[in-house]
Amino acid sequence: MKKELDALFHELSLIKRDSKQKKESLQLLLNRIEEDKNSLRRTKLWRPMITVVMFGFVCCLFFLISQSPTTTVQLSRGEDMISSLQGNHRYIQTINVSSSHSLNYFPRDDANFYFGMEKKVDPFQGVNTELKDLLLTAKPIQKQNIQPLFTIIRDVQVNYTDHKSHLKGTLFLKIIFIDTNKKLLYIKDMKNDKWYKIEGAATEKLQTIKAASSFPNSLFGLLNFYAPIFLISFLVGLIIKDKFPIIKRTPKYVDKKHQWIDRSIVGGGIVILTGSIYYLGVIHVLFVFLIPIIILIYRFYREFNFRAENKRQYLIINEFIVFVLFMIGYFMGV
Amino acid sequence: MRYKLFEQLYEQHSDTIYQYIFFLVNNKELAEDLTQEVFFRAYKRLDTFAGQSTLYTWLRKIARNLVYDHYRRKRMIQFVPFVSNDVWQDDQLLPNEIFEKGEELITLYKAITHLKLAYREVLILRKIEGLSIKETAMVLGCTEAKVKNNTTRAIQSLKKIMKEKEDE
Repeated sequence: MKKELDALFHELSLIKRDSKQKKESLQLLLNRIEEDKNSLRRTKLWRPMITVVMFGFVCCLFFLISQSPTTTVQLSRGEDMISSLQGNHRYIQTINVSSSHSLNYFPRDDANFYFGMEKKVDPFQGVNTELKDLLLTAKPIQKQNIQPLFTIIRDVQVNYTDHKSHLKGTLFLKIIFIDTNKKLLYIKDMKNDKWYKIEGAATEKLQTIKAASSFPNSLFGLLNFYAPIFLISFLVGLIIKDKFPIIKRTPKYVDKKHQWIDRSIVGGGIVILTGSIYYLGVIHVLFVFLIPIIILIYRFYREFNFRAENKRQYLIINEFIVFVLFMIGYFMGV
Repeated sequence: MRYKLFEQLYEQHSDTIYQYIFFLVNNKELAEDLTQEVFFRAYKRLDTFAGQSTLYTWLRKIARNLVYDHYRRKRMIQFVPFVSNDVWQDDQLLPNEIFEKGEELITLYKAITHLKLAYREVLILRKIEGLSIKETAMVLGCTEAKVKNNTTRAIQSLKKIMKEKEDE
């Protein structure tokens, strides 16, 4: 049976192609090649244009973000912590807290521009005057040489208002909790480089600031905004893969150069993100958005210019849309 | 110059590529179209051919990708298998040459069309094109053991299908 089968296979292999059809096919092929040459001249012009347009769009977005009006109007740049809070007409409105390992770096921009900063923390749950009273117990001291090893540092932006003049101000305080002594803490006023210490019962109450989480934990936002976006983009990705079609075995990178540059950007991005979060406690939103955008634009450029026929650029556009939605969600405060 | 060389390449390899595609898609017109597409893509990407394999192997890889693309386009969702048995069985698409060569060959041809794509592919490469196990493994991008395994299983399935056809 096996031998018979082999003979049949051999006969099958001898089946010839229609020579007339072959000639026609060759002619059509040559015509296509000629047409393609002309269209290639045009596409060579507009392909880089798309990358430029994407980059321009991103730049505009960042420009708008960076130029958005800040809510804080500095009351008086020269005032230190004590004089800023003194007086019956001055009240602390909100505080923003982030953790840090540095005694020098402080996130001074609007709190909304930082990932890792918990916004509008209310350590005493509505008792507005208590925090002010506690901070006013601070005593000025000489500059301290603190070893960050046995300390927990919190960067605290204190937003206060003057009810008389209706002006607002922000204090940038580094609060340094000592691991071994819960009845002593240091405060560094970053605006004036002045040091204070608080001792006794007030210190114990202020420990609640230490407990403030560094990352927002918005379950509502995760479930109602980000999760559906992820799900929809995943489904859109599947449809794109299936319909264009984009084949699973297509290598992720166009070539070795693409692989190295892509991995370098991703690796560098991870180092910047984790390093900043660990050491500085926060990372500026421009970095958080800029790194993925650079990666996406670079990937799009490589895919579109070097193997457009594989159609993986559509997946990148899908990722890009998701990313823009995430940015919008973030700035809408979801 | 490039044109001339390309025409030579077409003359040299298009028949084998056509045959390979034809046995995978079982449709003369479609096989002709896909063969044209293979050479069109090859022409566009000739500069990127690194010479790591022979030109023929490269062309066959393009052909294989195109056939897979074709099947992917056809199926509605990912969970539906690649090839449905009903799609292929249209006697009008059988080449005259097969009719001329007798009942046995028609049975074999039809049986091949009933095989799943992976089996069909390995049989085409091994039995019809006469490639070695090593060459087949290279084209399919799998191990030699898998080629051996698939060949054995494909022949078993083929025999089973042929027997069923004969009994009918």
